[in-house]
Amino acid sequence: MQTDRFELLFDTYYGRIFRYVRYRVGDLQATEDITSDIFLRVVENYHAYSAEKSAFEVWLFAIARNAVTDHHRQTWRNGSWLAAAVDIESARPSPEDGAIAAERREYLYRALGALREKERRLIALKFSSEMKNTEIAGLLGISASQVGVRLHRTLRKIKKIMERL
Amino acid sequence: MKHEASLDREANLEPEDEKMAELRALLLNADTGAENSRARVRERLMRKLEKQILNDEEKGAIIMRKRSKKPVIAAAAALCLIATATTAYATGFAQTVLESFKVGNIAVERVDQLPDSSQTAPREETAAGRPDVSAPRNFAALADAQAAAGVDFPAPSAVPGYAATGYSLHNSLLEAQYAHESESGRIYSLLISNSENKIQTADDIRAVTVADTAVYFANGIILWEYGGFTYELYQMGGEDFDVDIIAMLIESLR
Repeated sequence: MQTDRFELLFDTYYGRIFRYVRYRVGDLQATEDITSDIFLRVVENYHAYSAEKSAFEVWLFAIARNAVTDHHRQTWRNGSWLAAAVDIESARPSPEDGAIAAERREYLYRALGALREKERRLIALKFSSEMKNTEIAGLLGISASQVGVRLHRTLRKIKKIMERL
Repeated sequence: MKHEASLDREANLEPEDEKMAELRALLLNADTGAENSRARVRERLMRKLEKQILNDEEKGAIIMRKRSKKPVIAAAAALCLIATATTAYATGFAQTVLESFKVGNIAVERVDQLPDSSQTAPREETAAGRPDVSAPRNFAALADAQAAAGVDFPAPSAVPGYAATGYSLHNSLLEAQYAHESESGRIYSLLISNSENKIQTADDIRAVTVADTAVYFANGIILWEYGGFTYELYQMGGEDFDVDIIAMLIESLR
């Protein structure tokens, strides 16, 4: 892989991959580590990617999904997500960020922490990958209609949880 | 299990209220800490790449048992060697260019020191539209890659004992891959381009005239220009190619 290709790829997808991992695992340090692992795997396997088989985003987020799954296999404990998600750093308002925004973000993370793993996986994919429902469907092995319905239900669930907080 | 049609109806029955739209916006735009973490993630990635190279070197230097590891070496070597002007920056980093010249469309600079790879400027997220990041397109035949690119990339004959294993098209760059016919792990890649690029190295650059062509050796990469195209040769495994082999490659282009 050429350096300019790598740089472009990293810059283009870094934010989305980071968001995906953060929504899946919560913990900031783990997110950083997994994100770097994902890009390492991309570099390692880039030659094997075939545009004829899948869109690049689908291939990339399949790698991301596997990396997160590996992480969960190693570290999963009940409740660990919630504790990690609301760490001090995530809740602290930045200078550009008001206290209200920080509070909403904290509520969002708490709500994500209350979801089932497969719901969190869907939300993370939908709101980080920019993939269409049909592409997400292919990745998750369900129909596009099911993606739409599950997404809608999960969003309603997040909304309810956030309203209770 | 619900029927697909009923699922479709359920998905569309309830119009989204304002709060749902806000929630979608929040999920899309919530600050995840990505920008604060960018430099750290990059540094970790570089460490992992470097560690992988060191491990490979300890095992017997660049001999790749599996062809799949090749891109790691190529990418990492390039990342160490090349500090692209658009991405590398240095806070308080004073770099002296000792030598500068061009090999075809590639600007080569020998500098006294390379910036720390972890010191990469935080960048703004890419604008809403996706940039044209097309993944490489792989082809079994050179002619197919040339046709897809619309560019008649001239590829030299394979080094004796090696055979072409495939061609990858990365926008304006063609990567031709070759593997030794009997010894696994002996491979080489030839990057052929006709677009502008830049290379920096802190190592010595050796210039040799081979087959009436200026050939440059830097950091294990062999560079030359022919017919408006620049050739970068990366070799892994086996003895380094000598000038006779380089001469054969160049002659085969004529």
